[in-house]
Amino acid sequence: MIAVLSALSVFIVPLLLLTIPVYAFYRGVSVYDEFIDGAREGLMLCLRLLPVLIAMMAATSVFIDGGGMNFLVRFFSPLCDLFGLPREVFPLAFIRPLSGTGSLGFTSQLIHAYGPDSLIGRFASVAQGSTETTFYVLSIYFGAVAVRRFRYALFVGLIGDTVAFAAAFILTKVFFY
Amino acid sequence: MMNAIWLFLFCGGILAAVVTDRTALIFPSVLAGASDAVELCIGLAAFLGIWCGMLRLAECSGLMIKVSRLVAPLLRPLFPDLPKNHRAWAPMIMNVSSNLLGLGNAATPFGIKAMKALDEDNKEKGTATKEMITFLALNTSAVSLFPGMILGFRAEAGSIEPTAIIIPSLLASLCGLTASLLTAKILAKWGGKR
Repeated sequence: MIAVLSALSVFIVPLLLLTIPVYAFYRGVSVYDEFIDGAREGLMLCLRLLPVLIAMMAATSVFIDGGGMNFLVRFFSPLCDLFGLPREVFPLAFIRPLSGTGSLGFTSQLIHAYGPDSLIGRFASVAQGSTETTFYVLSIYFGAVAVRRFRYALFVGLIGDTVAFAAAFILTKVFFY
Repeated sequence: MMNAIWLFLFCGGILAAVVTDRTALIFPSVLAGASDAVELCIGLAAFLGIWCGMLRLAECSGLMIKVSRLVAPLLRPLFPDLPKNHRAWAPMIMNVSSNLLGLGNAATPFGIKAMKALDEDNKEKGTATKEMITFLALNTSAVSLFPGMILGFRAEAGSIEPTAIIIPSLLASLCGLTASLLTAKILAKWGGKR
């Protein structure tokens, strides 16, 4: 099953890159011109995203480096002890929704420091794999359509992350211990 | 909302640095974050260029409509008020399919296209609709059959079973997704129709 899945994820992209243009040509689409038009659209989009990304990533960076993150973690550590969560992994719950690269870096540090097959290493891996960069996703998708009033979207995303994080801990215990 | 979050992160970070006597770190850190964004955008430009080109071809040739027919029945119940022939369906379905296969980057251009199509029906521009929020709940849930990056980390760190986390990770993300969708459903009712 896993071998099939990993083979699939290696082959799916080349397969798409081959099938899409061939099929389009077969259906009489002027492939070269249409591709360029589409690519232009992609680049314009990227240009519109850049200011959003600069604002969010600069703020996240100074929040983590400046120690704001540490305060947040210390504030929640009694909660951590209450549920028996490893404190070392807890900052991930805060970094993960904010920064994809930041949380990947953090998780890889935990895996290296405590070992990939330790409780901390496994829990961090499962948590990283089952949660998303909610703030980034929302700012990219809402940014693209100039939506600034998110209503309850952020709440919905963060509820999902919180539940997935808790479930990751429980499932790590169930599967490995 | 975004105003408050951004201000909290940015100024909270600066204040924390001042309090903990790391004032010298502030400006380099802000710049480092910004240049990460620029780097990400350059990578994203190449990616979006290729993918949006491909998407255009898939759209012109009618391929998207074909693919979407296969996955559509799974998504239909989540968007009861969206007309069956709406333009947002095809990219939404492609977005969800790409996410499932662990092609997070491939999912983004589809997702943005879907958001644009949903925004066409938006009576109150600048405000999220309930369809947008449900769609984003799918995207902030990371339901993936193949979390490639982490498997890579684990293998590289010498794990005896790098792929053992796939199933627990998939189940945990499904728990998160269910919670998100239920919350969205409840709040949409509670907040009235838009």
